[in-house]
This record gives sequence, structure tokens and C-alpha cells, in this order.
Amino acid sequence: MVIEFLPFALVVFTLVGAFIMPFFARWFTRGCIPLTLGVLGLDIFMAATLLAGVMSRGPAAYYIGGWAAPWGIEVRGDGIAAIMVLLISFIMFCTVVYGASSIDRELPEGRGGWYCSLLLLISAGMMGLVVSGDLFNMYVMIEVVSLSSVALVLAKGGREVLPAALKYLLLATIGSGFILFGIGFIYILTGHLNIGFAAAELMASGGDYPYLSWVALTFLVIGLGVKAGLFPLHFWLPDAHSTAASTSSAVLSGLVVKVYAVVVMRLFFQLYSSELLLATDIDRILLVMSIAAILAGSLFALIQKDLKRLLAYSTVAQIGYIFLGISVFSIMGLEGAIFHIIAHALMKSMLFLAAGSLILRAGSRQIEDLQGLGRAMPFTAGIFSLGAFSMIGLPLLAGFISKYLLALAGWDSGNYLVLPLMVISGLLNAAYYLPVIRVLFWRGEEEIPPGGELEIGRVLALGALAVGLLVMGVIPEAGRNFIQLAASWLWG
Amino acid sequence: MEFSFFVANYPYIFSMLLFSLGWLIIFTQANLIKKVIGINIMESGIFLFFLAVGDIAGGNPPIYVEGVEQVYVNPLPSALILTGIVVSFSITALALSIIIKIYQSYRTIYMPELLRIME
Amino acid sequence: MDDFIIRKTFRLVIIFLLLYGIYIIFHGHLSPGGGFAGGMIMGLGFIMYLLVFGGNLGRLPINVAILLVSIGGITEASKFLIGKNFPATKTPGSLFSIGIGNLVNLGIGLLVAATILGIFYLEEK
Repeated sequence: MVIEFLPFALVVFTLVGAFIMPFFARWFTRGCIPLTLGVLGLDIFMAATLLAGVMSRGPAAYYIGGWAAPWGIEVRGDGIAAIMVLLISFIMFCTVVYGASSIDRELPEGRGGWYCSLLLLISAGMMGLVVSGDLFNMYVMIEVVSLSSVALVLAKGGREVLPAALKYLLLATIGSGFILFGIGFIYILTGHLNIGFAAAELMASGGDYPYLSWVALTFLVIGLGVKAGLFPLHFWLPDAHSTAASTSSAVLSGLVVKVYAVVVMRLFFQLYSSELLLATDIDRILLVMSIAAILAGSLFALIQKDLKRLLAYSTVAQIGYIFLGISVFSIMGLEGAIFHIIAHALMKSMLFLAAGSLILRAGSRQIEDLQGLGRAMPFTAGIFSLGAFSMIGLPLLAGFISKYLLALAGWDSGNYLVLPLMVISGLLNAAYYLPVIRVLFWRGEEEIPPGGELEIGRVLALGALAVGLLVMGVIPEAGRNFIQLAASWLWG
Repeated sequence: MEFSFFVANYPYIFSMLLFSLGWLIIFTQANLIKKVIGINIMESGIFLFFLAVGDIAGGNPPIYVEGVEQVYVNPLPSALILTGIVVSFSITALALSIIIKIYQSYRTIYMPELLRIME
Repeated sequence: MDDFIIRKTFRLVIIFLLLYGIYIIFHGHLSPGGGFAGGMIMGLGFIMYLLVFGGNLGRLPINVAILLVSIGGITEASKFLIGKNFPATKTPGSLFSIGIGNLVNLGIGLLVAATILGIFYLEEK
């Protein structure tokens, strides 16, 4: 009884926290970060309870206000929703713990409280997005997340974030326009906005209107692809993620672009079932786009001299992995995609937060200026190297498990190209991460005095993320039964 | 594809035209404020599409009158558009605020000059 | 502004403007309007006040805006408590017939008005 109320309670609770925050920001500035940590900590607790309950009892549906579907809005707490909610609250918590010590140094004066309000708002939006079972509710949450993420990019101040944020806003609005058009087409086709009812209607009569359902699918994929940063539509991503503050970049690269991939999963496998989709060849198109994303993202990252732009192009490549897992159209592919969402969220936020510390110390974002910092800040540079090794795919770390799962899924479903692609992309990742590690540890003539890194917030946050990464890499079975259950519920 | 097909479906065709026009304006105009106007035209096209979805030929306004059986126009798409208009207004406000800040920092609102200054 | 005509006219107009905004907010369930449109009209009234009489108000408008945002946001979040069997107290068609819905509409109106006031104040400064 309580379990089905939990996803909805999570979203409303975080939203109320986000509305109380301006009051705190103006008059009780010292209480902002404890309030944020309190709200997010309670979110982690509720999300863990939801995950335990859903895994033992099955998906839970809750109708807001007691109005049954199709007249009411459905909040579905199924496997993928529970996993994503726990991931979102955990990574936001670690980011705020990190930011408690470094926000005042990166953002202009007096903006810390407003930044916390923005972080709560975007986590409420993301959590509302993954638990929503109604198409238009999903669209409203997509808008909340995209406007808040533009504001996250803008929070840093200064003059170089402005064109990047404007480009992000314009392209994200075009994406929203396409998504809204797609939702309108599905409403014309089926007459329902609830995902379950619309799916039943599509199975029954979707074959009579093949062109209309094809056009609806195209608009939705293009809109969500623009927002998620899939290869030919990714042009806003390097500028926006590199000019933002490091806590913003961690949240943006780690969580925001993944949430749209989760929406694609829901639309493909719960709204349209896989039989309808196989008739439209969308799997081949997505496969080609993902392979192009993986190769192009890595190739662009090879030539970058700016550390955060390199990490941003690496995100473009990793989004290609997730869509590769979606496009092979099997349960194993979905497992690989969900595992890579979790693993990449942990890895990339760890990389961006560690890079933020290094950049603050060195004073510039170019890789050349980071010479020798590895010896001066061994803990931070060690965490950065751990994240880089996981991205390359060394065993005992989470990145290896996700590459292994994706290669296995590709081999099983007949796309024999996936296995060599994983090997090649691992080598490409090594080609651009290892020079950074070399510059950090083995270059640099003068000795930089150690210090400036062991603040309690940063150590705790980076340590928690690293522990999560190691746990998922060394004992993947701990998470795999959750992920397998979630993938099978999505598929069926 | 006879002519009466186009005449009967004219709201959909115009909404597609508006959508494509808005999207083209965002990509081809150099002035930043014209890009924001392009966003508004694109969103107007989408709202016209939703209104056309709800319209039933020969329907009455959806106000319930006691005891009379009539065919009502579907009110659900109108409710969806209300939310869409608020979202579009917020996006326009945010975009115009960013453009004001760009003008204060870079002294130009033309894209080619902006790219040249940023080099 | 120092113009005599503008100040005298403004004193008459502002009352009607704010009253009209409140009318649209509270009659949201009976006629077109509701929280968003009424909130925008009230916000425009506040902006006109800032344009005509502003200048030496200091930080008062932004404090008012923040307070209204917090209160409006919390009352607007209470719309999730409206259940299927929430007692509609009076006859349909009268002003306060939807119970907590009036509070929700007022919250949305205050939220939108405070947002418009905040945007204008921050840009003009």
C-alpha cells in the first residue's frame, strides 16, 4: 500500500523542498546546503525502500487523486523507474556533498542558495520523468528538466557560458517541439495519453495506419535524440558541458542526458512493442547512428586540448553505447544499456568532479597547464585515473562489465560487428585518456606544493562514487538481478 | 490525392507549414532575436495542430447544458495547449534574458559577428 | 516618472488592473482564465507600478517576489491532495465551490505574478 505511493511522494517532496529554498537563500543562507542534503538524503532512503518493494512485489501503479486511468494520471513505479530514482538521488547527493566546499569558488558571489534550489528542481523533474506513466505528464517533466539544465549551464556567470547556453536552449526547444508533435500524433492514432491504454490500442489498430505511426515514431526519436545528444544531433553538447561549472557538468553529463534515453526505452518497448518496431527498420537506423556516435565521439575527443571538452565528447561516445544497447532489440541489450547508464553516471560524474578540483587548482582548463598536478594532489588524480581506467574498460571496474554485456548482447542477436566495435572503442578511449594521466603524473618540471585538495566534502563525495564503481565492477551480480528484472518488465 | 483532401484537412497542412517555417527561421536567420521569433512560430504551429486534433465537424462548445444531447468538441487538446503556452512563454523569457546578457558582454546580436568575436 | 498626467492616471488604473487580475484568478473554474492568465495580469500591474513609482524602493520588490514565490509554490503543490471524493462544498457554479482548488488557483496566480515581477526587476537593475 505504501509502496505505490512512494514514487509520487518522492517527486512532490523534492518539489516542495525546491520551493522552500528561495526563502532560505534570501534570509538563511547558511541553511541552504543542510536543507538540500536533508531532502536528498530522505530521497535516497525512499528510493531504496521503493526498489526493495518493487523487486519483491512487482510493478506498482498509483493514480493521482484516485481518478483511474484513462481519465487520471498514472504514476508507474516499475523496475527501471526504481533503479533510476535511486541513481538520481544518490548522484545528486554526492554532487551536493562535493559542492558544499567548492560552490563558493566557482560561482559568483551569493548564488549558492539559488544553485541548491535549481539542483532540487532538476532532481524533482528527472524523478517525475522516469516514474510517469502518462505521455503528457512526461512532456511537462521533460520541459522542467530542459529549462533547469539550461539554467544549470548559466549558473557559472561570465561571458563564455552565454552563447553555449543559448545554443543549448534553442536546440532543446526544437527537440521539445518534435516531441510534442509526436505525442500529438500518438493521440490522434490511439485516442489515449496513458501509455498502457495507448499501447493496447496501437496493437489492435496500429496496423491500419502504418505511415502515421511511422511518422510519430520518427518525430519522437528525433526530438529525444536532440535532447539526449545522439550523434548527428549532438552539437550543443560540447559547448554546454565544457563551459558549465564542474558540479553542473557532473549532473548534466551524468544524469540529464541519460533520462532521455530512458524515455526512449519506455516509448520503444512499452508503447510500441518490438514487433511493430521491427517492421519499420528503426533498429538498423539507430544501430548506424550509435556506431557513428561511438566512433565520431572518440575521434573528436582525440584532438581536444581542453579537459572538459574532452570529457564532453567522451559523453557523446557513451550515449552511443546506450543507444547501441537499445537498438539490438533483445533483453540482453536492454540489460547492457541499463547497466551502462548506471556505470557511466558513476564514472562521468566522478571524472567531472575530480577534473573540477584539478582545474580549480591549476587555474585553467587546458591539459597542458595540468602538468605535475598528479604529484601534488595524489588523491584527486588517483580518482581521476580510476574513472579513466573504467572508461577504457579494464577488468575489475564497472566499464568492463558494461562493454562485456553489450558485446554479448550483440553477438546473441546476430550483429557480429558489436564485439570488434567494443574492442576498437576501448582502444580509442585509451588513446585519449592515457595522455591526460601521463601529463598529470609524469610531466612537469617544477614541484607544485601539495595541498588544497583534502577537504571533507570532496573526499567523501569522490570516495563514495569510487566505492560504487568498484562494487559494480567486482561483484556485478549484486546489481544484475535488479537490472535483469527491470529489463524483462520493460520488454514484456 | 484529390483536391478535396487538402481542403478538408487544411488546419493540419497549415500547422505543418508553420512548424517547418519556424524551424527554418531558427537555423537560417543571423539575428538572435529573429531566432526567438522562430521558436514562437514553431510553437504556434504545434498548438494549431493540437486544436485541429480536437475539432469535430458540427460540434458545439464543450459547455454542459442540462438535458440536451449534443456532440461536443473534444476539450482535452485545449487543456494540453494551456500547459504548452506557459512552457513556450517561459522559454521565450529565458531566451530573451540570455540575449540581453549577450548584448551586454559582446556588444552584438548577430551570430556571425558573435562567432568571430569568440575566436 | 515625473509626469503629472501619468501619475494621476496610474492611481486610477492600478486598482482596476489588480482587481481584474484577482477576478480572473478566482473565476478560473467558471470562465476562461485561471491561475496563469490572472497571474500574468497581476504581474503586469506590479511592473507598471515599478515603472511609474520605482527607483527608490531598494530591495523591497525582490523580497516580495521571493516571499510570494515560496508561498505560491507550496500552495500550488497542494493540488496533489485533491482526491476523487474531496467534498465539493457548495453548488456548482458559485465562486468557492471547489474547496482546495481555489487555494491552488491563488497559489498559481501569486507564483506567476512574482515570477514576472522578479524577471523585470532583475533586468531593469
